[in-house]
Amino acid sequence: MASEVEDTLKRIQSHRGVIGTIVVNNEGIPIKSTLDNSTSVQYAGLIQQLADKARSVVRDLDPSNDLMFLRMRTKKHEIMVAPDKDFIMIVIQNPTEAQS
Amino acid sequence: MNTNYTYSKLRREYGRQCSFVKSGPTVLANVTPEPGTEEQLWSPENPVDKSTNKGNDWSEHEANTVRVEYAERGIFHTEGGWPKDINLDDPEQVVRFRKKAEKDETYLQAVMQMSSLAEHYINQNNSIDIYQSYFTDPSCQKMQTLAPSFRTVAVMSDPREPTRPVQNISWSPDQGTLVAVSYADMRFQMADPDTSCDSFIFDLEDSTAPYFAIESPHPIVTLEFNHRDAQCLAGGLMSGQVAFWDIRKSSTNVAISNIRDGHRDPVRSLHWIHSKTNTEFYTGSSDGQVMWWDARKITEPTEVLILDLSKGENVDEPEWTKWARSHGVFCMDYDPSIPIRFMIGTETGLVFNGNRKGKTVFEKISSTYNCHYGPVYSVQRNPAFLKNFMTVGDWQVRIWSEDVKESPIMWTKHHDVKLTDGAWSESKPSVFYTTRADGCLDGWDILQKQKDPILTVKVADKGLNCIRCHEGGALLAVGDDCGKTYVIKMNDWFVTAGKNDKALLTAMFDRETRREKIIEAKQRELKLKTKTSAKTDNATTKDKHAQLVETEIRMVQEAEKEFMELIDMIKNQSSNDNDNTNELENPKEIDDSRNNELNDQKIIDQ
Repeated sequence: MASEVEDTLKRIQSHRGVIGTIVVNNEGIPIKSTLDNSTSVQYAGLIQQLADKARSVVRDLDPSNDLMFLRMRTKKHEIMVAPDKDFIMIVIQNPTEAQS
Repeated sequence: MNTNYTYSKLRREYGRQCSFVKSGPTVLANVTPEPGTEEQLWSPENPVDKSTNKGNDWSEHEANTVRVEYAERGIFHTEGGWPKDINLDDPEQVVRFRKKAEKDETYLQAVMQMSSLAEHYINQNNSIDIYQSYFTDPSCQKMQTLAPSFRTVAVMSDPREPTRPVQNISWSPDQGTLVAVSYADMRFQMADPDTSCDSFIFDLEDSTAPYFAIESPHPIVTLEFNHRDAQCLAGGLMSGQVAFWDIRKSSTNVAISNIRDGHRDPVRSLHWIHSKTNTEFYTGSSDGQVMWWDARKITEPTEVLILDLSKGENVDEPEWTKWARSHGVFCMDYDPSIPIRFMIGTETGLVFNGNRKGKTVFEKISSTYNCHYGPVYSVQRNPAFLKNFMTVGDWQVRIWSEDVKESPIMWTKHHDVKLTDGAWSESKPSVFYTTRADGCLDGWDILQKQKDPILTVKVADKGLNCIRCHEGGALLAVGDDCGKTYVIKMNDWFVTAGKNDKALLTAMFDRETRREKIIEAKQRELKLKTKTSAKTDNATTKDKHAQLVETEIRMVQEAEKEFMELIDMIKNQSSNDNDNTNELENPKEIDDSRNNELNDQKIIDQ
């Protein structure tokens, strides 16, 4: 199982345009990251708050609803956030590179 | 504790008692100017402008703005969330924690789940750019996505009972919000003499009650704001008089013309002239006269023009014979950019293009257009294309070019209901509006659609009478027969002209003008041809005529012969068949009956 997870993460990282993948636990600690420590800590702390906020917005609007996925298009990247119960996965992709 | 303190003062210490006495003004000194001595006593000097000041100017004021206080604050960010027993500075501990977390079953499951989701989106991004902007093509951007629409902003009803039809509407100048509405019952000798003669000014800010009442001795047919001074109004009355109001002074008129020197019919139209003094205006009436007035001396007109265009009259003719021949004015147009020109639509369907500087009637009326069979209800130059003007009449709107006198360059279909008024939009040159007798308002855009209006608005239940566009372009005021004035706001579709609108419209007007000119030239040529051919063929036509008559006679004879033969034949047959005489008169019926008989026989045979 552990090796399978490793393979999956490697595969994600190998996709075109993917800059980095970070797995964060619900304390905001980056468990697994392909980026350097300070960047992953920054991403982890900020995105985790945002994902929590987004989830609470969705829940407030409709209690039976839930956040499935969060994607943020920025000038340079697309930040994709896959939230789970105890963890969130952050993938940073460069879409222009992906398109070319 | 005693808090009383007595303060005493003698009466005489207050001074003398005042006693006020009422008295009229008295002249203490009167210095009257002495004419004639001025030149001896005074001499004009070059004035000297000099200022001095001993000290600095200071001023003091107690009021002051509240001072904004600033404070600096900051947040110390630190990496947190780690369990207490792990020291962040020890990388070994951190790595060990991470390793432990990675082996957690929930972690493994969660990552598998999340990665499948994330991978989907990564692949999606790699295959298609979902944020690609499709409509970057400039031809797409030009397309108007806005739908034409409107909103009724205000409805102002006639405050007097019984209500009277709205005759004219005038917006205050410089995009003001005031609307002057004149009310009059124009039906000939049908109006109730007890109805009020007042007209009103409304303010759009508060349209429920009139802003100002204009009182008049006779009903006001047309009331117009001065283009410079929104406080001054001029109006034409039912009695043919003109009057001048200043709303700073009073509701009643400041000045009114003499009945003797005014129009002899109701004043149908009034326009201020953009001159140096801004006090001149001119009026037209159904008595066939156009008069120029000066508001400073309104008792009699400064100039009178009788619209009698018959030539060769002797000079000594009395005025009333001219009056009888003149064309009654129904509407007029004036454009401030060509101040000496004017346009008149008459009851006889003609439109006169006038120039004030002319000396005789024919110089003044430089060109005549035979526009309609009935009265011209409205004539207006396009504000952007002064050469082109619109006329409303005969259930139709026509657009003309000044150069083509024979026929309009564009026209709409004939409507089922009467059109009562029309106006060009002030801001978009291709848009005009028409009002109908069934209470509808049509908005047209000749660049978009020529056959049908872009938008038809059912404004009122009764017929609409007049329309006036606001300078801003968005607002319209329409008046109806039962005294209601509707202010309608058109949306941006009707207000903002497109980038190429002007060029397109220029091309359209030019094209249509050229087309009409070509047709005109061709018709002239054709006429000329028939004239010349008629002359040359004059001799031969006589012979031809005789021949024609001969052949005709021959043909008639032949036909008669044939007919008689046929009758004889039928007579013989009918006597054989013993048919009654009734059928004889109608050979066709005989044929039919015979056919029927044959059919019957056939059926029997079968």
